[in-house]
Amino acid sequence: MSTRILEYFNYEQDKSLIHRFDPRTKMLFVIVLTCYTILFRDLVPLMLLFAGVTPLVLLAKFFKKWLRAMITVLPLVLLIIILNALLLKNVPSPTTAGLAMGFRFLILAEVFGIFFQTVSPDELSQMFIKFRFPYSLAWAISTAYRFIPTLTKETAIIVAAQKARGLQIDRGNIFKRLKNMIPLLIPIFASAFRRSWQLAEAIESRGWNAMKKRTFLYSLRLKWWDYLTLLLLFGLFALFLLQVIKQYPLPSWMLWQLPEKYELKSLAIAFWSWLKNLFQK
Amino acid sequence: MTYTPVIELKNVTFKYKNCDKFALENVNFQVAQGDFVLLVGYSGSGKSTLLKTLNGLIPHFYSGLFGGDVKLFGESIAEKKTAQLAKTIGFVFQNPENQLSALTVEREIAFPLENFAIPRQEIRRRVNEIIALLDLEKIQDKSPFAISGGEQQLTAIGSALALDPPILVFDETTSHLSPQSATKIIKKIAELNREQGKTVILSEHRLDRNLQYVTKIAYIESGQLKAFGPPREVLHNKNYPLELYPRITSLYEQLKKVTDNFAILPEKHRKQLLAVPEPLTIDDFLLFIKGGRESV
Repeated sequence: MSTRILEYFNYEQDKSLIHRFDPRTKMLFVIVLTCYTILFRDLVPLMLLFAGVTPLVLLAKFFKKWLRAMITVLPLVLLIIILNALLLKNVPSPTTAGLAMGFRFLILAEVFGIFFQTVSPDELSQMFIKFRFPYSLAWAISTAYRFIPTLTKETAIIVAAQKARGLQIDRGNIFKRLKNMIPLLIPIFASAFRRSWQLAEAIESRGWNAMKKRTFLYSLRLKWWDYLTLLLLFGLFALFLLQVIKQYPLPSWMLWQLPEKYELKSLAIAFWSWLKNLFQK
Repeated sequence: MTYTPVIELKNVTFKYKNCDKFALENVNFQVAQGDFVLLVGYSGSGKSTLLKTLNGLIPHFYSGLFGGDVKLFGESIAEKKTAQLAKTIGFVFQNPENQLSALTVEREIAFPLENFAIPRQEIRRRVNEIIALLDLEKIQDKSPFAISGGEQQLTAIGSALALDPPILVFDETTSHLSPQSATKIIKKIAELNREQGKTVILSEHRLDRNLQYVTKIAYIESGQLKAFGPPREVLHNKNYPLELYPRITSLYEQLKKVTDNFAILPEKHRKQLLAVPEPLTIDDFLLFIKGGRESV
């Protein structure tokens, strides 16, 4: 399960429409959408938002992956809905609020998913450079990502080597298994440290931070479609701020709530009495 | 005009922290412009330590006891940072994977140029030049982790060359590679030495591949420079261990070249020599030179 969730946030090298947008545009998209998701507390606007974002998943060409991830987190979403529906007080309809929470979670998962699916680690680090973060931070992000395959390969070798010497990794209870991991962790850490030391030497020898400023062979450039989208997103953000300050009442159809008899609590009570009746007979 | 050596080491001594033995003890030598120096010695004899003193990795990067002076083009480097020296000295390390970090080969080569804030057009021009020089056109857009070890090492060389340093240092650069790629890399290094006049220092366990290109050999044993000079001189030095002689295979190859070219041996012997597979020992070799072994 955990690997499936990790996979969901893993960059997919594809040439979809969404991939062609600048990471800064996508960053603003994530910020604006997060703002709106937090702004709305009612079910209908959140459902509309969800319906609006889902096509973007299709455009980013990772619908299958998204579906798989959603199925994986479904129990969690259900838990959010049920707990909210049963435990929330001081709201007219706890079930509606619970469902709204569930949709909030789904929207956020979608939005962040789109970002990480379509922004490569390199673009991410270049974005940090454009935002005037220190270059070392940006470099660390892209290098960490680049070393994942190397370290995975090495870990596999270490595991195989220790197994060949009789280490039993998947035997015994959880504590024993954790204890069995120690002979793996020590060489893995040692080699990672050695690697990072050697890399530090190598980049130092090639003039790391030799000048205060540095230049770049490639850097990000906003295209016309980015400007257009940014304009739209800034407009949406302005609307968000306006709503936060002025607190306009939402139209009544947006405030729709589940009828009393479909509340989870009343459904549960009805179910309980039905069961009781069944056994009394 | 007085003669200034490109590299000059004066009484260089170094002891790593938490280690009771000296890694380097009073090392003195001078390297002239255009020299190809081969640094030979067993593992742990101090080869890497010696090379790391050349661009200040020692003592700036390793804590320990440092003494003596290293001069590049007559200037002491004691006050200079390693990063600043990248324009003077290009360093290529042993493990190809642990010295690359960029997304593509092209950007790896651009990395030192970016560090020195060279304008973009200039970076582009220089990168293209190096890619052409090292025949990296096919892999220039690939990740440095998706190419072979030999190509990785070529990329590292390209990156070290980017700032056009007059000195190139190779720390067992070929030891992780297959014999074929190693030969290719050494040939490239020799080309850089001969055609571009780079001063090269290369450390190695074995001499086979390099001997034909080198102008000087430095033999180091437990931190002391035991012999330094032209190859013939060093190989005849009594301090020089037999194990570090070029292997017989290489002797044989050279001999074979001679027999091919000049036919100095009588017809019969030459035929024998070429018909028999590589001799394994000197005795083996003498045996069929004498004609004691008809065929195998």
